[in-house]
Amino acid sequence: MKRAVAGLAVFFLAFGALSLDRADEPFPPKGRYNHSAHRFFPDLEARLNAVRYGRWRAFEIAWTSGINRRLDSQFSSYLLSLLATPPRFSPEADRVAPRFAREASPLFRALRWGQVLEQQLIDVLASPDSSPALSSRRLARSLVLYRRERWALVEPPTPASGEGVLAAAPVSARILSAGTRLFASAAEDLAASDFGQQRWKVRTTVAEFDRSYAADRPPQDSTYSSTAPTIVQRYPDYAEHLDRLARFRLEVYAALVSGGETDAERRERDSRVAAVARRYGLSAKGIHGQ
Amino acid sequence: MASSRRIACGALILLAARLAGAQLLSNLERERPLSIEDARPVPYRALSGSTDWTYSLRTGSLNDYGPGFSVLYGAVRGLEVGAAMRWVTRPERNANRGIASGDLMIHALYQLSEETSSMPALSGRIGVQFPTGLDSKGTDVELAALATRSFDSFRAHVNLRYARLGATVATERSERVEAVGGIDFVPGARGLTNTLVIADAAVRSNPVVGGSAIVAAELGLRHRIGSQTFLFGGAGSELTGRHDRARLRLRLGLTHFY
Repeated sequence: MKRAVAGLAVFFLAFGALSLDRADEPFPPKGRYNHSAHRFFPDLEARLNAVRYGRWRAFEIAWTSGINRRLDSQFSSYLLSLLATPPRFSPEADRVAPRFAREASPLFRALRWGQVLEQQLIDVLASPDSSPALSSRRLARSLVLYRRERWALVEPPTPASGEGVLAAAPVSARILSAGTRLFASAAEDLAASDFGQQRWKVRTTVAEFDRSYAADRPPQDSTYSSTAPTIVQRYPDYAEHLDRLARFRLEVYAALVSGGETDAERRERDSRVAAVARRYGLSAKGIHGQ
Repeated sequence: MASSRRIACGALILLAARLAGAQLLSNLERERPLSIEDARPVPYRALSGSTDWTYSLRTGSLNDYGPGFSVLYGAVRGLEVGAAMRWVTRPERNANRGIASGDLMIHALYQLSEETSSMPALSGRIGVQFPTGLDSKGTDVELAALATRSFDSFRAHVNLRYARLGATVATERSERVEAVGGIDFVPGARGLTNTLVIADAAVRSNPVVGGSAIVAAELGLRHRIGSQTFLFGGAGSELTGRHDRARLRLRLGLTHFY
């Protein structure tokens, strides 16, 4: 018995020590609020899922083929078909973007962990028992858990522009930008006082999104700071993190514009994405060629 | 004894103090639905529970059937611990076939390395089967090496297993080996990650001394029916082996992650 207890202790200590430096992000934080958007706002959740699929697919394509006008038309067709019959469940990112997951592991994990943060905001606010005080507590816990991981983004010292992406793939960029705006608008709607108001506001936002994503007009500002004043006022830290995540996503897209079809392009792409990773406090170890 | 307890308490505190995206559809657990297992443990802090019903149609009409249950937990990063139990009818006959009825199997699966652009994911698994069931004789130990490599549209897996049985009769093989190779992929042009198709082929030692190796082939799928709930099903056949081998094995079950 004594040996068994000691053996068990040594076994767990050994595995605990071995796993101290492990990279895998944990299961999303648990809470009764999880999947509230899926349960109570399925029309909204389906569109958010389409945007999530679109983002991951865009990373996978851009990682090898880059971002250009030719791919823009193909990719935008894929996005439009997704939005025409939006998926019920969120994507498993490593199946939608397997190469990006393998070869740009730090970026992939930071984006996936960021997706969890974004999902938590929507679910906390959509929860039937939500109130400003309870949501505030839940979101504070979610943010603490997010920040503890090595995949949490830190504010870069200098701002950067992702304008190159908008020019290289205008149609896809417009649809994805409308999708990012949908996340912020939906969070603002869900911050309303009761379920009736939430329902009505979300329906209006979803209808507006359905009209706007295919419309040929310049992308609107999709940040939380401009689209979701209530969220910024009540949960300023959370809004700041999500805006940072959106800027990070745009910078990664911008770094992938040239793609990686030839050796020279791959080297250039790898050094650019490694620089983006470092700017946001991530390690570049695990990026192909670094 | 007191010092052992202190070490054990220290270990538990260390684990509890650690922080508690997940891949759920692709998390291939053994017998959920097929023999093949992927080299990735369940995500850290994820708890998974599964149940199934398996029916084996055997040559000679001595069919058997019964339920199986399993629980997995992501105990620390990269380490999964789990327990499984299966009951089948005709326990005495199945014990001779190497199929336990009511035995408790516990295991730990540790991911040795993550998948990179040049290397597959590699894991090691250790399992102990306690003779808690009907017609069980001794404690068995199982070791396994698992590898998974993803490609653009599918993943390939290889599992190598070795089992040492604690107690056997004279005609029974006490050391058994098994090699399983398989693939999985997400069907459909839209690439929605709601359904996973899995296929594998296995070669394993015959439990009877002198018996020819058993070759089996299986096909299955996992389908998402809730945000964290999956329905799975599989069909397989033992192509060679004993005269009363399973000509067709059908399995249907549910997995839920929390």
